[in-house]
Amino acid sequence: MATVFDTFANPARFEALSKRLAPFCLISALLLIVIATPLALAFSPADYQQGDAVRIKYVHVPAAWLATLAFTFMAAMSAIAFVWRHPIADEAAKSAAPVGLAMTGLTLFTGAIWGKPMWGAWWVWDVRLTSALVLFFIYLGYLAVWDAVEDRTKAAKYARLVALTGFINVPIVKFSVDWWNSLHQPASIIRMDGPTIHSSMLTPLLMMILAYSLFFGWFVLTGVEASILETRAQRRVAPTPTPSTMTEAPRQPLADAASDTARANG
Amino acid sequence: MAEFFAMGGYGGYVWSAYPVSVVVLGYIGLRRAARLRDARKRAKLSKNDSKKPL
Repeated sequence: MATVFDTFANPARFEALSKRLAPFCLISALLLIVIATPLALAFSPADYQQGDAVRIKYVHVPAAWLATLAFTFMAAMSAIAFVWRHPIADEAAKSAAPVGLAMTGLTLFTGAIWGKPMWGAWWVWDVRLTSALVLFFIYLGYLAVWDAVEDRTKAAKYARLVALTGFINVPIVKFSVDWWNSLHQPASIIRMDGPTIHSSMLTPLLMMILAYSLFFGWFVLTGVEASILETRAQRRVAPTPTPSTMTEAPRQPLADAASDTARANG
Repeated sequence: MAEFFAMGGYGGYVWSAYPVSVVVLGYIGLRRAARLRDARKRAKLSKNDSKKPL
């Protein structure tokens, strides 16, 4: 565990890891999507109640999965950044936010076009739908903090708070269908008594979920790598320490971490 | 074939969900790829700069 942590926490090692792992994630995600799409659209059966509208599931569920996974990841990274004060954890959380926001938007969109034919309404103020909308706004708030606060150290601190407090909403999104009466159907994959979907539908669905998760892996790895490189380039152009690096001694800002990498690379 | 595109009357719904998903994933993916390419290029440039004698 300690070595895993070191690999991810050291910018030079992270860069080397990302260069090898990120292309693998992206290529396998694309392959899985190419294989799963015809299964989802043509070879899986129509639902006995929902007919062919059920095929929206194969893009709705993976998006919703990733929307909550991304925020859980952001909250975990924020907790790590909070305890160990490592800037790469902040960067990892920040890198996950755009994909989380996009996937929450996609969940709401595909949910609306699934809701219209099935429930007769694009939108209802149901607890599942409303909590997903709240998640969308929390993502916006999180990204706005990074944009609005100029001092990076302060921005990271506020962003951590948004991620950790906003995380309260994630179990509400997930369990809303069990805790309250909801129009939305309950969980059918992650259940105590096992999945309730036939394998002909479950296979393309799990492939899509895996594909979206691998895409997420690629997205975060490349985001962190890009920010390490950007900070290093900036550091070389203007090597004077910023006020924030002088006032908060225990923290090692990304700029310093990146210059360690520069030294390590010779 | 026409039956396949009709999706049992749900064609309009199904055939809008998939392309929009592809566009959203493609958009954020391409933006991130562009940012990484840019960052790699700049990191290389600044490395060469720092090697130059003043």
